[in-house]
Amino acid sequence: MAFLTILAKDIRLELRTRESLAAMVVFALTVVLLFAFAFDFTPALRGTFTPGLMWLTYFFVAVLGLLRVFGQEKQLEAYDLLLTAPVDRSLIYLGKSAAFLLLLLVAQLLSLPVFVLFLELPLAAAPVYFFLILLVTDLAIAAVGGLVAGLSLRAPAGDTLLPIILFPLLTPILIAATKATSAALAGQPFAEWDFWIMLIITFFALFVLAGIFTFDYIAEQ
Amino acid sequence: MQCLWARSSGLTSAPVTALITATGIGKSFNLRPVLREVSFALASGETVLLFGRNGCGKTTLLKIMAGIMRPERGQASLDRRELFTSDCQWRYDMIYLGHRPSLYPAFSARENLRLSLRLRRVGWDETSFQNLLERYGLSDREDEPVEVYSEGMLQRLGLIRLELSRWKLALLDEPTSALDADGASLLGETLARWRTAGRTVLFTSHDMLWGAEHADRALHLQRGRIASELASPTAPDLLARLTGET
Repeated sequence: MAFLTILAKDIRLELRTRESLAAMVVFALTVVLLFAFAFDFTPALRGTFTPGLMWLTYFFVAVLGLLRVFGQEKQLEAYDLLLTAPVDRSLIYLGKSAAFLLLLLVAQLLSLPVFVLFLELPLAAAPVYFFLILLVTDLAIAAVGGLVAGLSLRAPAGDTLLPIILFPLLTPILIAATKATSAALAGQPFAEWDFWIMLIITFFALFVLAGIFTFDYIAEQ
Repeated sequence: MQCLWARSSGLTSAPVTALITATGIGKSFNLRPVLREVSFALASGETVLLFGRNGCGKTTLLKIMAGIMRPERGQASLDRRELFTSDCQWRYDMIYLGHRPSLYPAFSARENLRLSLRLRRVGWDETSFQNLLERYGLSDREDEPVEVYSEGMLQRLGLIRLELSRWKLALLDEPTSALDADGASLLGETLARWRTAGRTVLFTSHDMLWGAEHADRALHLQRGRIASELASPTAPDLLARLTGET
């Protein structure tokens, strides 16, 4: 119940302001267009670099989204409303992470056609695998991001702290997602790149458990 | 309210029918202790003023009691339920109104209050809501985003949140800071109603006149401890304690 209330609250806030989604999509489009027009990639280079570029872009898009989704709790001390409510704090973590996950997915779906059009991302080669990788990676990013954003929310200079802590933690996920995406779109069989998916799932499971068990302590100053 | 007082050690008096007790609360920031050994008890139906100079730890103490900050040491219980644990049930009985009223700027008054009540599992009562809007002077503004509200209006909305919620103990941090004379008077009436209903309030204020007028008792926070307390305080008494601080 509380999970859904918090999730619905964040979705409604985003629908009301559209601040986070606009910033995330505009950033993604800017990066894609910059790379598409500023560099003269050969088709072979495109195939090599596009998955990595896509995940790097979504990595920064995720940071933007996290700063917005958790940053709105700072205005008028709104976060205190959640902290003083008779709600298990793991549900605050799960609710806000789920809201961020949805936001990230929508931003990706809106910007993905631009990757296909301008950077010739061969999405049609393995669409099912591609969206599986996208979903699993986003789940891991949301699990890690929700925990770190919750930590930085109560810290002085938290907005600066967030990327500093988040980048090293997300780097293995980013590498695994890039490797898996490259392999899937190159037509390699799943058995040859399932290790990377397992790695991402491991990160997801570890950080979700860490969030559930530690958010009560992390949330308080 | 009839309340028997059991004089405990030192300066704190523990009401026999204590609703909330705190013992040895301590908290530091950057290794500088703000609260050292704060102990106090409040009885059901009491309205208590927590006063002291700027930076003495009043807000920190209220935030600790509300579960927003974690103390480094000390224990507290509310209605025999231990606080500072992961069990969140005690928060049903406690409500907090800080300097800023814990609202989402993009939401309207109605949306903010509905959200708060849903989190506390309290049903929505449109008639009570409309009556309270009328009483607090916010009629016809309930569907505007609260980002356009003045500080005083936000404070009034925060008080409506308290009125609509169920609780036994309210922690109010400077509740009159943004209110005009009419708002402060309204809050005074509300405190009297809550007292009659057996609800307990711990509030901070730098307005000693207003604080003395509405408090049954006052706790003087000095150097991280409850230095003294006054039953039925008067403004000159409170000011004398403050100016007597060294």
